[in-house]
Amino acid sequence: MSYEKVDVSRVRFAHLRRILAILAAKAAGAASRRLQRGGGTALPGLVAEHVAPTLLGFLLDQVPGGTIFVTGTNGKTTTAALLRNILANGDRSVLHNATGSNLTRGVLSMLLLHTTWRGELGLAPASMAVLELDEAAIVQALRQHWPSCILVTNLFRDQLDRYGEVQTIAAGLRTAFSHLDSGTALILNGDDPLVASLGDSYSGPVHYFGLDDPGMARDDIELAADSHYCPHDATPLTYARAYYGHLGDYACEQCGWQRPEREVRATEVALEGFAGAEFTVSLPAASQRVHLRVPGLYNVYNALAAAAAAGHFGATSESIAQGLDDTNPAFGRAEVIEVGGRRAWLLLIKNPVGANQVLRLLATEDEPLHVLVLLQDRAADGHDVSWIWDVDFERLASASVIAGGRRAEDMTVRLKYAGAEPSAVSQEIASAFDRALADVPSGGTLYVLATYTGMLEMRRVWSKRGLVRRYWEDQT
Amino acid sequence: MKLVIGHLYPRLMNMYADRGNVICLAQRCRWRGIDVEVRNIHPGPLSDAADLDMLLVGGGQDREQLLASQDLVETKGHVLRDALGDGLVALAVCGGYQLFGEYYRDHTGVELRGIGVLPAYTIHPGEGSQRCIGNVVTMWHEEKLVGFENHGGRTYLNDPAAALATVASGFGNNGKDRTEGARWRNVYGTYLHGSLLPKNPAFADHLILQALQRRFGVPSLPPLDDTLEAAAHDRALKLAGA
Ligand SMILES: [Zn+2]
Repeated sequence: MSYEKVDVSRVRFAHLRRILAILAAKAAGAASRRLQRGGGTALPGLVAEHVAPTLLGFLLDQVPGGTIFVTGTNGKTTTAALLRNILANGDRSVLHNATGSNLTRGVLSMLLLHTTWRGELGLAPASMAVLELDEAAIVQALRQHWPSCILVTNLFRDQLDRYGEVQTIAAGLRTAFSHLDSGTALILNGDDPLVASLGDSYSGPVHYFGLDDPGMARDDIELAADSHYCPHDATPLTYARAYYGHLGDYACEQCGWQRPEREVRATEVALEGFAGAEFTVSLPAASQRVHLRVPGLYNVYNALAAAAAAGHFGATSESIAQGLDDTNPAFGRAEVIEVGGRRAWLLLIKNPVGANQVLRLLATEDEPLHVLVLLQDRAADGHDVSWIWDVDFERLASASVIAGGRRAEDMTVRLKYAGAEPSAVSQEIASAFDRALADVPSGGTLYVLATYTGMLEMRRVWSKRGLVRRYWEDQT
Repeated sequence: MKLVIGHLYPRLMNMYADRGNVICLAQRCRWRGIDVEVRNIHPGPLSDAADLDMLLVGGGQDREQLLASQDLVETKGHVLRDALGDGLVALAVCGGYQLFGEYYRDHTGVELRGIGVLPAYTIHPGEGSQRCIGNVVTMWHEEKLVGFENHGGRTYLNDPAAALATVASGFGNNGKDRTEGARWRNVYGTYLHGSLLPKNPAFADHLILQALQRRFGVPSLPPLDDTLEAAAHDRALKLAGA
């Protein structure tokens, strides 16, 4: 397939096709909402894509204030939510695919909510779009639209049966970026060697972000780290400091390639468990102490990514601090509900590095831990559940743990070998939750760790019980 | 009693969480009162392998597999070949299995040498060919082995009798001759991960017993409560439609 950008205006009958696509999509969206089907958010986009394959580019080209694509393995949803909150102020509206449907059809579905039947987005002058796209979808989207800016959070090993090797993903991004013109800026994680290397030969502007805090460094580089090799000569990188996964201060002793200068940095990080974090963000023009409501060091990175992108659009350090402080955890990422005098946190886990970060966060809690792990193996989770053996579930050895979901039995075995005594197994998520909650004393907390479809199902159960809003109602 | 488990290339060859096999062997020994030392073996010279009781190696990404192949063939080859010939118990999964065979010809036709202890060679049929991905069930003697496979290369055996198991559902070595894995002396190669051993405790115990027999002449192993492992095994059978 060609990487040439499609000139949408020259496609014959394009206008008629677009109108048909929009009408069909709107009808599908209305029907889906009436049926209250959980998977409804992507359906209109799917229909529209089928009828008019270049509609996405046609609509995005109309966004007046700029478009930002957010991609990477972990942190896309939270980063996009933080960035949206920084950028949206006053009269400026920011379109955003908030519920994590990060394929092109999900983005299109969201855009269609704002589109007239003639195909006009009709946005106020400074309006922007912040769009989360997974590592494969962004390559498709870049064939139709060149955004103002692309943000890459990190690249870790993820569902291998779905995405393939992390090196292959990086190569795909590098090729797609090489076809952009210099009107697109790259915002890259400078502490991630694989992500940083995407900027090496890029012709347009590149801004790096990263962490500078010896207190957050680990003594070792986790075994789960998967690309700690020089992208130029495959020599193992030397780390002066490692934060988590393969993120850190690295250099290649063979060729001298090293971590780039980072314009946007976090220093003096204070993690406050599930209450969030505080740190100083240094921008080229100013420094600012900021508070973050989303927990864990991995979210400090997400906040930095959002700050760097916002800085590219001229946001001040005050508006960045304000936007970060205003952001509540995104859909299924450290959401919390109150139920029967207890609290339940919902934490997405989907690959070893991300899951290890969540377990590190749990380790900061003082009370005895009550944990429910929901392991699924549907397409969106990855059919292969092997990755749980690369996660340090040994950290839950003294917790009270229950496993649930389609692969609950696999999870139970993992927990047993981690030294825990898993007490019950239920493939059915509602009953696994009830069982786990029953073990939690009044006033206590249950931590629900779930793979992607497990998270969706858990949320669906909660929404049926009126504990959270239905997720299409979050779509604004 | 103490067993030494060598984990070969835990950083280079760690793609399919084969660390789970090491965790499984170590725990099943400890639960029986057998001490275990896990020794990570990285690239570089290896003077002696005589004190190893078991050796495990997993799969890696293409680039890592190339580095592992160079180290294995040029640096550690003769030491490991001697130890394996002497009865060292080894489990090589996926990419590790390919490197324990004679060679791996990649999708561009470039050949990566293996250490050739298993009578097998692997050929990648070229870019655009289907990968062998999915749940897999094989017959190993009277036992069913369950796992997940994800490989582009097709492995062929010089002698079909050297197969570890017969495919009941899935691709196995090459998707054609229904063989899965290979065996020579106490060296086992397989495409099954998932991780393999925790869901197949009978096979895990077979490896432990072979190591104990070789070092201490132990004739049998006391059984463990494998209720949870059996449930995961049954679930995997159901998912594979077997
Ligand atoms: Zn280098």
